[in-house]
Amino acid sequence: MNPPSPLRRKIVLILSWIFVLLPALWGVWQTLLQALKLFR
Amino acid sequence: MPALFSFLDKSHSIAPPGYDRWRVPPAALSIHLCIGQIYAYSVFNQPLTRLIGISHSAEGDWSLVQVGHTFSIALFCLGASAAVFGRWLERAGPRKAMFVSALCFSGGFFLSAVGVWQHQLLLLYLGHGVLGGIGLGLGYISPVSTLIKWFPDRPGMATGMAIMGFGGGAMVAAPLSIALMKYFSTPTSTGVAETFVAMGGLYLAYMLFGVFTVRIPPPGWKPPGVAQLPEKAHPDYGVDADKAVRTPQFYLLFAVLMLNVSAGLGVLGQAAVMIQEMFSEAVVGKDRAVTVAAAGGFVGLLSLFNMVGRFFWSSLSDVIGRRHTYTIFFLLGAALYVSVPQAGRSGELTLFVLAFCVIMSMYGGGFATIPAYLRDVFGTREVGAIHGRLLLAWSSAAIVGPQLLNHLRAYQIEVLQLPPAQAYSLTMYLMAGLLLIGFACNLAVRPLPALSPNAST
Repeated sequence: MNPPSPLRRKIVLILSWIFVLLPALWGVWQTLLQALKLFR
Repeated sequence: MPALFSFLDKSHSIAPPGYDRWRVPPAALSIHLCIGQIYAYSVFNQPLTRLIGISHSAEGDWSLVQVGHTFSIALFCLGASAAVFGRWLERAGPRKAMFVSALCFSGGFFLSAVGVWQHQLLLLYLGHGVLGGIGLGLGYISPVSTLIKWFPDRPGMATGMAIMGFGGGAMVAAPLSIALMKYFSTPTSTGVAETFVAMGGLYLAYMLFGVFTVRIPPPGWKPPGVAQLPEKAHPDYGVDADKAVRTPQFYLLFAVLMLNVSAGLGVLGQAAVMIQEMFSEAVVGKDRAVTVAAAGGFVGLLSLFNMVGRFFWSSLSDVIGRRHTYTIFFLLGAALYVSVPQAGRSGELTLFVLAFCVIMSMYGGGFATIPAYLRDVFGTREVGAIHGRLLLAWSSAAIVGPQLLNHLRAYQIEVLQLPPAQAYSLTMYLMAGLLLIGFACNLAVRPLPALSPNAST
């Protein structure tokens, strides 16, 4: 089996980060909305 | 082990040539973002006390104290399992450990759901408490130890990334749990059991992503662009966990972590009540009084700083050193704690909020920097196992700390007859005192003679 091309490796890397960062950013956003109540 | 599970073997998780080490942090984060859910466990407290009455607690419903024990059991099991299974984890490799962690953590949700359906408190304790706690312990140390091996040149930053995920896990879990309970609730059900099943399934799938993608570096691997690694960064260099726990350095670092955690917990547990009492209508007037919603905002802000501090301080420790980083935590932390009662008395809300945001960032930073500190002192070889044993400091502080603080506050209000707004001063001074003891412990940490470059052995 041929080793994956550099482009495929990069795509896999980016997708991995998106997979973990999306829910994390959603959580941060929700907390930020909550935190903003302190300044209202 | 059957051939079906051979992919979990350590030998099957060795990275192929050309593997990009930046693919490992997402694997680590997928585990930590899930197990960080434990910090948001309190969102289930009230619904769990209304399983029979639904809109209110009825006769036969569990009490808040009974439900609250689940969190303490989980934290105890976290520390105990990390300490007991730490060496196994180093032998078995991260993939197997993360797999067991995923099964235990999600299994805890499923068992708890059965406990809710059957209204058996013991099943809740066994599910979220014991099984979930074991999943927490294994899932916490395994990715951290792997990242230290992949980022020997920047161990603080690498472990900070994963442990930041643990802090962020609560931010995902809290709104997710609330949304799911709302979705599943009916006039005859709080929707907690269904939420547990859904979260167990979601977390299992998410954690398995980490299991399948985690890799360990091949023997002799060096980061790109690094010609020579420092000796302590070599994977085979260092003392074993059994020897480490017989050194004074281990107990000093145990005290460093425990005191830093205790001080931070002093804020976390009481933040919402504290800001409302110190800035109540009677103290600062109606216009400037902090409302319930604003207090919730304060807690959210603290969570954000707790999370960001994990990455910021641990990354900074790669530049200024671990000891200097903890020196900042202890001295700046003590100064901020001492300033809080004054800020409260003078009605300086901005200063009050700012002080606690920095304190919380250092609380998170303390967690995230300790694995790299351990690597510096004991070497890389069994850093996961040593870290596991040190986590008992966290469990004990997390269980004992809040109880002590609650009793101290009750003593000041009930026995000394202090008004609630002033009942925090003694607590703050006590926290500052704890941090100064931590400062002394940190100063006393010396390199191990057997590992220092000039050692004869």
